Amino acid sequence: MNWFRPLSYRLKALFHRRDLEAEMAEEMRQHLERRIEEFVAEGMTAEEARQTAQRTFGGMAQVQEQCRDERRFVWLEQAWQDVRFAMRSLRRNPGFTLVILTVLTLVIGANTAIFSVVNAALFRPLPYRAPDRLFWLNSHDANAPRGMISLPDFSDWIAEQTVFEHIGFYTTIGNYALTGRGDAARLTSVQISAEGLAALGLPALIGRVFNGEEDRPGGAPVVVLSHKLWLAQFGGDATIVNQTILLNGSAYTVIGVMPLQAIFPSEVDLWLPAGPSSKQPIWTQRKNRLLRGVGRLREGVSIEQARAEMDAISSRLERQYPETNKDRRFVIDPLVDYFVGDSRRGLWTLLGAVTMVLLIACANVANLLLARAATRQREIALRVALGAGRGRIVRQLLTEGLLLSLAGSALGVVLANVCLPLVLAINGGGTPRGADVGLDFGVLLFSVGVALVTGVLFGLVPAWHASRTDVRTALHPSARGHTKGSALLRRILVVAEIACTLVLLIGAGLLFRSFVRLNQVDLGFAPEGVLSFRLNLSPQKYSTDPQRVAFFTRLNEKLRALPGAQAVGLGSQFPLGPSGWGAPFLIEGQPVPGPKEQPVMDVTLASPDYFRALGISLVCGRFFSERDNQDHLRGKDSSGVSPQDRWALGFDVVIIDEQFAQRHWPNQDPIGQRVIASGWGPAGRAPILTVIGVVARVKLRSPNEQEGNVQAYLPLLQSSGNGNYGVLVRATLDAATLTAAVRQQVQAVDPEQPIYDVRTLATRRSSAMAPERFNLILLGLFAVVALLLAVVGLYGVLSYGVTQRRFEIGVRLALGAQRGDIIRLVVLQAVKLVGIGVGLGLVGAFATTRAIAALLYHTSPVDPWTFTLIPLLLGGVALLACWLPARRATKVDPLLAMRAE
Amino acid sequence: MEKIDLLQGTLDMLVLRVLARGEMHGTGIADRLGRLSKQALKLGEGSLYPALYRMEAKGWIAATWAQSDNNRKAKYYALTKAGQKQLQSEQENWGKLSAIIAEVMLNA
Repeated sequence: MNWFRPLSYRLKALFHRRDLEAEMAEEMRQHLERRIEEFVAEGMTAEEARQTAQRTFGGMAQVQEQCRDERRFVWLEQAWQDVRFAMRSLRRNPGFTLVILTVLTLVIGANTAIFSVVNAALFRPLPYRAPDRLFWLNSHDANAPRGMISLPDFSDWIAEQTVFEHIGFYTTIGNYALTGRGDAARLTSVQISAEGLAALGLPALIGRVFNGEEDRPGGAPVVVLSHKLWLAQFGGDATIVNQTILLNGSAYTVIGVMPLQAIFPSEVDLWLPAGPSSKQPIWTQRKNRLLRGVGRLREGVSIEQARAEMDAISSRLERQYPETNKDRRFVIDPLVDYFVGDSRRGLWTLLGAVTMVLLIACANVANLLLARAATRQREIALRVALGAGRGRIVRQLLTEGLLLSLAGSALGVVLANVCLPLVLAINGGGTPRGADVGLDFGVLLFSVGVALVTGVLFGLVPAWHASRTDVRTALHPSARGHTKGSALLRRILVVAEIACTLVLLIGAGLLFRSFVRLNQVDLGFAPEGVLSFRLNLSPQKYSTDPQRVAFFTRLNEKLRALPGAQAVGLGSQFPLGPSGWGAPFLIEGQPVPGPKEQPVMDVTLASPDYFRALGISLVCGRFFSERDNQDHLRGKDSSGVSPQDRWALGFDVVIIDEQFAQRHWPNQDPIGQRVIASGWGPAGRAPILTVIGVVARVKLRSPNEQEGNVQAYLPLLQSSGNGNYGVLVRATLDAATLTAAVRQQVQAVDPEQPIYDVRTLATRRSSAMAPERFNLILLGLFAVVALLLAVVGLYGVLSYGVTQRRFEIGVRLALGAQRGDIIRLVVLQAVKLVGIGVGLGLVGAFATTRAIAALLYHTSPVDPWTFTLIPLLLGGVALLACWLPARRATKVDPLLAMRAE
Repeated sequence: MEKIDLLQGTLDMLVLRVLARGEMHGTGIADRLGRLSKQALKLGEGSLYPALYRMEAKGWIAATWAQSDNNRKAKYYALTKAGQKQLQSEQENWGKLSAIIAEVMLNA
């Protein structure tokens, strides 16, 4: 209880200072009055009495000051005094303060922004319940480390497993056309099992998600909307629940709306149960791998246990179904890897780089403050002489530093908030978990932490310097306001800055070379001037092969007729676009490979002009023509063949890529050879394909893809596939005009057929390199900022050095030194500093660029060109910093310089 | 008689003892102290006040403004419960200390 009274006493003193001052004065006055009266009563005169009273009392001012001291929160008042003093002294040098504040704002802002991104991607838990129990489920074999799983395999797995509390599967992103509500819209969708949703643990925002009743063949057609779609298309109207909407012409009942954070597997508009499709022929075949899975491990089950069980089940399936499941294992990864996986390294690199820039900026600010501290030495010495404790002075200087850094941090957070959307936009949605990025408590804490650390770092420097002030020499009229120690410290800081800058520049240089190489990769086709789009024919409307063929033949004609159109191609896939399928094959006349060496070809169904539209060059043989159609089937008996296998019978020719020819007929002419698509068709009647042409190999998925499967093309006219096509139009028109014209023509063929994903191939290629571009832009930016800071720092030190050595320069000039000699003096100092900095930087770069080797494309992390040119560049730019100080040195008036001492 | 310097702690104890009698204003306390010690402990009178303020800050005494004898409002100090406890403990300590000193002086 005894803390209360003192506290309230002091608080009262804090807030009622004026009243208490008056009281104290009154009290002392009364004391004196009484004494005076007594002395007068004893016989003194009024004047004598007053003097005696005052003498007996003691020094009034001192007593009052002591009384005041007893009342304060001394430390609080002193701190407040420090702050006010710091603000005053910062205000007195507005230019100086502004420069430091700007640098700090930019740098802390950049750090905060990058940290936000890293935080969202790597530290924030996924927005699902207990996200560390969630796992991503895939298959693994020799061809695909994270491949998909077939429904029969998944069903067996679900039936036999014991480690998952919930386990479900989902499909690749699909599309539905929403009609009946204004303009037809193309919506993305995912089919997921009810158990999959349960695993994620995301309840619906309004309404509900589908349950076991709906998630089965013949279940009622229901759909759950995403939050974004609900707002955009349905105006956020809660009554949408239980209404029906038309998707691809069929009625679906909306049973709920997902919450905002439900982004799985990516941003989709519609969530549908997987059950109703599960009896479709393509799903029931064990060899058709269409699904990925998500599961929630039971409490107390470790990941090793789960993996062991998975291996056991995989082995059993392998034994039971050797044709389809050879060497196939189920694998589980933490779900967060799905979202973040590849980008970890890039993110950490960026964070490291921006931290380096922060350190360089701190060094700069420290240098600046140190320079100013030198000029304030007189003032500090005076204060020490007047009785300020050294500790107090150090505290006050530290306060200045902290004030600067906290202000910089506050402004930096604002800046980061403003710039983050820009940063995410540059990356074009490629930022991992971009939707989660934002300023949250963790980020703010980080920012404040950075401010405190940097403030202490560069506040300590002048404080340390001040604590070494020798009062007597500092107050001497000729004191020059510096010590040897501080000059050395400034030089060390600049060398460190240069070294760090070099490391950043080399990193940026390596990324640049890598990016240039990536850009120059021969894609195997010519992306310039080609517009691409996709359309999915509704299976109800175009249920037969002839219908589909009719559609795309008409579309082909119409598009060909467009002015400026040079070639039109259709295909089941196109490079840098949606993915296709792989098919196992055998070569007629060659030994059957063992099960481990079973080759797979990436198959594209292509129209005759596909190759011309893409610009794929023909190596030998010929392209497809109109005559590669189904005429050859006439007269052939296709009874006894199930519908799901009949489509494969249509094929009888194939165009292969160079790698295919090289690998399988290294010394022969591949034309006329025959390939057996062993994975297709009914047993014993796999289609036999005659090779009619060889084309250049293309990069199917991304410019930096490595060697993979051989590529093969089959005529679209021989079997129209599943109705999902990519269309390519090579034309001389600009993209906007072409897009409008294309839409018009598609409408002319079928007014209810929407098209989507309309982009030029050049844009796709650009997007494919978005992550590399992002890293390059940011790292380049940081490197340039670092360079600026380092050059400014170097300039500061050189300039300071010239001032320091004015006497010496004056003497030299007086003794007959030439202008060139003086310049050489300055330049020599610069060369020494830059040289040491570059040397240290090279060592640092050697050590650290290894870490970004994974980000580089065909570029060594110790690429000699980069390691030679960048230091030269840095040296050159740094020596620019010499120019002004050198000029100043030559302008020194020797008489003035010597007299000033 | 020469003035004897008082240690800060001892002065506190003396003031508390004076106030144990009843509340008093600063001048009165100075008078009392002077009289009690028969003018031997004559403080530079002003130095009483910082001590009073300190003890008030520590919660041992409390101050109020009240009508004084010459019809002016004066600041009166009174002992608090905490102050009483403090006085007790200081008295004990002083007793022990003076006993030890006396013993040493007698028997060294």
